[in-house]
Amino acid sequence: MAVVNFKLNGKNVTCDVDGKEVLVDTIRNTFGLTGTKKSCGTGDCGSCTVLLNDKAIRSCTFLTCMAEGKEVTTIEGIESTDGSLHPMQEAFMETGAVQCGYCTPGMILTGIALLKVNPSPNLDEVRLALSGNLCRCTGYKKINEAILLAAERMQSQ
Amino acid sequence: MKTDFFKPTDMNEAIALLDQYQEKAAIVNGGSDIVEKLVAGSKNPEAIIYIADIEELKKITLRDGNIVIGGAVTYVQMLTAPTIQKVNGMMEAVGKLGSPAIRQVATPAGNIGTGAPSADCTTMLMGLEAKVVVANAAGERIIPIEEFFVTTYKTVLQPNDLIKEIYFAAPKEGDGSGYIRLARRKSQDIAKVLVSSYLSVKDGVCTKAVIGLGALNATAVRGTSIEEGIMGKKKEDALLYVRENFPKEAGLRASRFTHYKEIVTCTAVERAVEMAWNHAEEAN
Repeated sequence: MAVVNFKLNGKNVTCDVDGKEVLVDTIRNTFGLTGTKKSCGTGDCGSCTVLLNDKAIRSCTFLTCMAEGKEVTTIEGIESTDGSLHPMQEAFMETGAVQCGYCTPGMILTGIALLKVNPSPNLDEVRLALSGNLCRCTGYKKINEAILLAAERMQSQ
Repeated sequence: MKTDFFKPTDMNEAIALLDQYQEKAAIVNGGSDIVEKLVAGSKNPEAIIYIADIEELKKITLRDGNIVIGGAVTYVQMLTAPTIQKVNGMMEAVGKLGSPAIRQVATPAGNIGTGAPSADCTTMLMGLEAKVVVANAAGERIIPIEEFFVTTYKTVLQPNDLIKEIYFAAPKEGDGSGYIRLARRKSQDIAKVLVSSYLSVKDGVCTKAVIGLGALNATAVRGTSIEEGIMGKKKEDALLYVRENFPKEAGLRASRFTHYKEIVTCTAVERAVEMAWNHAEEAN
């Protein structure tokens, strides 16, 4: 067991977890943030993607204790303080990049992480960044378009 | 069983913990492989020793003509390191394994410590004749990568061992390396055939050849029969040789991919050798 302190969506949080507990379970069960989806549980599908210090990681193969002192951002933590949606969320809605929606939080966070390091990616770079995120509805084309649209808008802001 | 979590910040602290807990300890860094086992319960340690905060293990350096990769260096770190960028085959291997999110956290030390037969970075390290520096409470020892693997998922590591660093010779003028990965998907897939190559080319003739083979035998292995076969040959003759000679060391195991591997392995070797050769000539 261990006490872990980290920032979750901008707020300092503390929890007491077993050393083997994974971050996705802590986020969903302890903090009730169910926007982060748990699917394969083996790091393969990307639906549990969260940001750790702005980098996209798999929260299903990441121990909660490993987040000590770090900043974790989930899909619930990306909207502005006034409650307006993140440009990436807007772009996903407008492009119709959401079908069943299960992969969407992971896709959006992966897109945001990409734009942090590469504010104006080309299609190949978007596809490479998303290469570990599976969409079972196979709606990749619109997801790519959404990220490119968000990049364009965020650049011009 | 409840598991404690330790975050040592220096190597001595980590080694002391490993010595205390021995086989009841599990070393975790990126966690991309071992966490799955912890969750499934196939590993249930008393103590997790998290080594990602040990600064001395997080460096990529040049030392005595060797490229030295610390035991906690991640793949993302490698991809952006100028020293690694000169090793064409390593860039190919590391740039294609897992997915971007896996490469963010996963490490070469974890890759060899796990001992999977289809390990990408391990296969490339085999082609680079890497050495593994292992530390424990009794001291340090250097293990050539060819002697590191016992069988599938079993290495020579003892319960209290920590991989301190991995090193290999920095490429010289006239040297080139290559790497070929055959899998069903481009991303996030376990490879079916892996071939790494390292060649020295002088006056159009191969003067040194190292071949690594992965995902074929029970562990990654050296393809010595191929190495001997192409030594002293010109490019066209070397490529002809590898096209026609199935590596003896491949030791294909029975699986539903055996037939596929029988068909494609020679082509994969050919491409890896050609890649290294072209790279060596560009470097000349």
